[in-house]
Amino acid sequence: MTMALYDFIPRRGNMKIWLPVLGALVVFPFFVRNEYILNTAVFAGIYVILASSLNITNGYTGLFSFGHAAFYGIGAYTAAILATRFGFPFLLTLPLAGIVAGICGAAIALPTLRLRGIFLALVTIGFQQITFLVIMNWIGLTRGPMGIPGIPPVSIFGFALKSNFEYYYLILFLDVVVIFLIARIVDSRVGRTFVAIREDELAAQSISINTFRTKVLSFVLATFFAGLAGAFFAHHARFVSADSFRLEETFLILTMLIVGGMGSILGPVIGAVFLVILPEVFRFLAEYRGVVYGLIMIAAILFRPEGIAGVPGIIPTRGILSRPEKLATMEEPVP
Amino acid sequence: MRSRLLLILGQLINGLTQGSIYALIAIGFVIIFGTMNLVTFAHGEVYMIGAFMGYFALSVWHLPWYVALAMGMGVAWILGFFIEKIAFRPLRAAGHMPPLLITIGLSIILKDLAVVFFGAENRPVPSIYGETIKIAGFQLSLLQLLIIGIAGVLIIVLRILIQGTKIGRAMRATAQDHEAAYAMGVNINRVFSISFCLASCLGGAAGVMVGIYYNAVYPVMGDTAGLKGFAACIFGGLTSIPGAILGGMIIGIVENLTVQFIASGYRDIVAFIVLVIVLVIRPQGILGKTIRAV
Amino acid sequence: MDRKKIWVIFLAGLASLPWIGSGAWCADPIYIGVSGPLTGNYAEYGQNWKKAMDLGLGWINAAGGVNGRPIELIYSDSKSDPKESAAVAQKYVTDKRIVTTIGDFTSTACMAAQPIYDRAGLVQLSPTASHPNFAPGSIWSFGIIGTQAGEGPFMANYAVQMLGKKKIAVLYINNDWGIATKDYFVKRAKDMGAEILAIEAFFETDKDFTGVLTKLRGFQPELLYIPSMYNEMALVAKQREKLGWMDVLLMGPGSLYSPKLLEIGGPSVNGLYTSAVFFPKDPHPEVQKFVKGFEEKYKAAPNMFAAIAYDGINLLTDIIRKAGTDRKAIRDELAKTKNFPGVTGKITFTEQRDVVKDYRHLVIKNQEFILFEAK
Repeated sequence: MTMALYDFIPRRGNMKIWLPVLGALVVFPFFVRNEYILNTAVFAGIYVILASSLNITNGYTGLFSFGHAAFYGIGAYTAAILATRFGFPFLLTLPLAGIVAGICGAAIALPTLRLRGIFLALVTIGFQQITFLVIMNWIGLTRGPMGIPGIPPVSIFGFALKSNFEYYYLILFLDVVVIFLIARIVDSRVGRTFVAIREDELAAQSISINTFRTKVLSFVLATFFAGLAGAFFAHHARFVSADSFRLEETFLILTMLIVGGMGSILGPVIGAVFLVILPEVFRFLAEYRGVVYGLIMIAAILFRPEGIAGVPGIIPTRGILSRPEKLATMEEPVP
Repeated sequence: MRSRLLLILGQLINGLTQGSIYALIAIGFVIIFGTMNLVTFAHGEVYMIGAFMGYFALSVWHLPWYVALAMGMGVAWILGFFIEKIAFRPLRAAGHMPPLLITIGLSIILKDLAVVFFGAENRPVPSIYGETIKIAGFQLSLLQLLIIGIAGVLIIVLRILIQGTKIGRAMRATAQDHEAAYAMGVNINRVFSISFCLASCLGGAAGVMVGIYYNAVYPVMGDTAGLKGFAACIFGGLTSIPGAILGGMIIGIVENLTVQFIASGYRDIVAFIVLVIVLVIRPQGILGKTIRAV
Repeated sequence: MDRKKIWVIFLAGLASLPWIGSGAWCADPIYIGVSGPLTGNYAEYGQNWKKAMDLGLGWINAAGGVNGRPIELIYSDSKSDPKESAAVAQKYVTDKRIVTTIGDFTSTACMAAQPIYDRAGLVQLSPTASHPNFAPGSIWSFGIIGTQAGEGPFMANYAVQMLGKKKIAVLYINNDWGIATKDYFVKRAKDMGAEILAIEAFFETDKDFTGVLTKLRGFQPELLYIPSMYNEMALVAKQREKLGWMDVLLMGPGSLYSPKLLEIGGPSVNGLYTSAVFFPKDPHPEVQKFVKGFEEKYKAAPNMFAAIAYDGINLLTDIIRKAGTDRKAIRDELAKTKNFPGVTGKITFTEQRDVVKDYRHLVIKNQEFILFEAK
């Protein structure tokens, strides 16, 4: 049974494919006890959640959101504030961060999801910047540029996580849960509606699908998961500052998604792992990190827009090196 | 009472100066969107490279400001030429998103290269026209007048170009209707290329002027400037040059009034609030034609 | 003595010469980790540290290092970004060779890395963090530049008592350090009877001061106190010139004391008031040795940041000499430091692992820093 990479959805049926991989991931820290490498692995885990959640809107639903880092930040700050000011433990800050991020996502989605394409992209950038600037200025809530230090580590039933070895297992667990949740969503009717909207919103509307409500749902789900990632980040780094949540961060997550592939389960996972490990492997290129990421993004769009494991066609490829007769028109091509 | 008025007048002039710079950037976006129907995220970096060219001309080679300006514009023109070739030409019929993503990639690359080659710190630009003239008890900065003046001249030259020359007519025809223009024998490729270069050239000019005005250039200066210029462009209506000018001025003025009456930390939010409000309420902007944004 | 014996002794002596001579290089180096900004907005400061520390180490190692072992620095570029400094801290605590660390530059970056050093038990000696909450935050954290709790009142005194300016406006950089600096200055200035007419903040990356300067001008202050780094101060000085606002005094804390301010600011910074814990013309022989050595090696005068890093490396080397290479022993010995002679003054740690510094009044005349003489 040949299957395209982008069709792979982990189910009970194909357990013999993903279970060994999961097994390898579980035992890997026992062989590699280096805290620094495990730190990188933890970050890869965080970006897996971020890229997968961005995939819900940008990949499955075809909505180009450029504001993801803001929700990541909202989640992180929510966890930070609740933990440092009110003493909430991780088990509470995690879901609350997701919920707050989701609510903010809804608040932004409602007025703006009527917009399409470039206009939606622009308004999400606008919100991304506004969120960043509000965090910087609202010193009373977020301590502005000073950031929030002293966030307690993750503590579950009295057991406080100390080393990256322990955080690795936590993020691995979270990743598995998030990916399974997303897989279930994608496999369900709601998920198929997302794809229907992406492929042809007009047709979807004509069979009485409330596309607006579905788009908002997709947005809220994406921001909810981003918030979860933020909470984990806050408790792991023990310090949050607005600097980690700029537009560059959104671009980074987007690059991971495009390179890994949009619209599939594996795509964002591969993209996140690849782009987190890359700078560590090519340490000598550290100064040129931006150049490398930019080149990868450009190469992907020009030569393989579906990425490594993505669904072809989400980023239109018509007209690569095409002739001037095929001109861009005033109409917005789908999506 | 009088000094209060003078204070506000001072902020207005601050706003007009900054605004004319935003306007130049915004006009660049209008030209690109108007003729090519595309958006670029690399415009901020073109502005930044222009600014660095101006810095080298002024601080290192000690050339007069108008030479620096010309050099900045020239470098930006050339850079624009290559960006158009790489990002936009290969993907002509692929819609907005792929070229946009490529320009994002390009902007990341250019920024990183600038940091590697120039260092991330500010490069100081020497002061020119540091004097003020006194008019009725109010001190008017000569430099601010100069900047508003240069912007004005560039805009007028642009208008002459677009209204009066053959290539300008070709640009207008292409902006109205690609297919028809092509059918009439307009060399679309050439029009696209020249439009992009022209827009970049204006961006480069803005960059040089900012370096002179604030005495500093630095690799990430393009980020905020590009986004604010875009906000001004959207405000005015993506396809309207007078709209872009209006948008730039208004953002500049509101920013400075915000500093005066609220706090200086909130200055940068203004442009983005404008962006969001315009997109949500009236995506075609104040003076733009109705476009399918919804 | 027996001929043969003489030969044996002579040959033995000859054979052992190479061992003695290369004793310092044959032995295992002792590693100190440095976390600081080698690139980025604060690169200037990090590069100055590096120059000073390399100079100091050159002398230390030439004299045999510590018990025959050379000291080697491992540099990591944190850009003084809190994210990066935390990552560097992570790296250093797991590197068994590293016995102590120097860094980071900004208080924010230091505090971001603090929990990591604290958890793992590794000394974090910051040459420049001056936020009052830094050193007290962990028994492994040490600061040697003095805090704003000391400098703030000094500057307030300078402005209000010595210069006689009672109408003051403050424009501060919006970060940990800027806020603390502003707070301590304002508090003491008010106590001394000055009127604080306005307080405005700006962000690190801001370049446009015309708006806020116009606003502050409206309050007609006699003096502007500007907690900032030299980059922004130079811009403020130039831009206020453009607005024609010359009848106000500019003053800022010791962070401004650097040749770079003169270089970038040019004639616009004449008349600016600041302070120093380190003054190159100080006749003290230790200071002169440092200054002359620095100028000879780098063809440039050392600034305060170079001097403080130099003190840092000398202090740590001295401690390692006394306490050995165990991380905890180093910490304990360091905490006991009393009157260590540094080029920036004597170093004695308080209970909180901070120091109290002696400041000097400076003013810029003819594009040079000179000591301010009160009339």
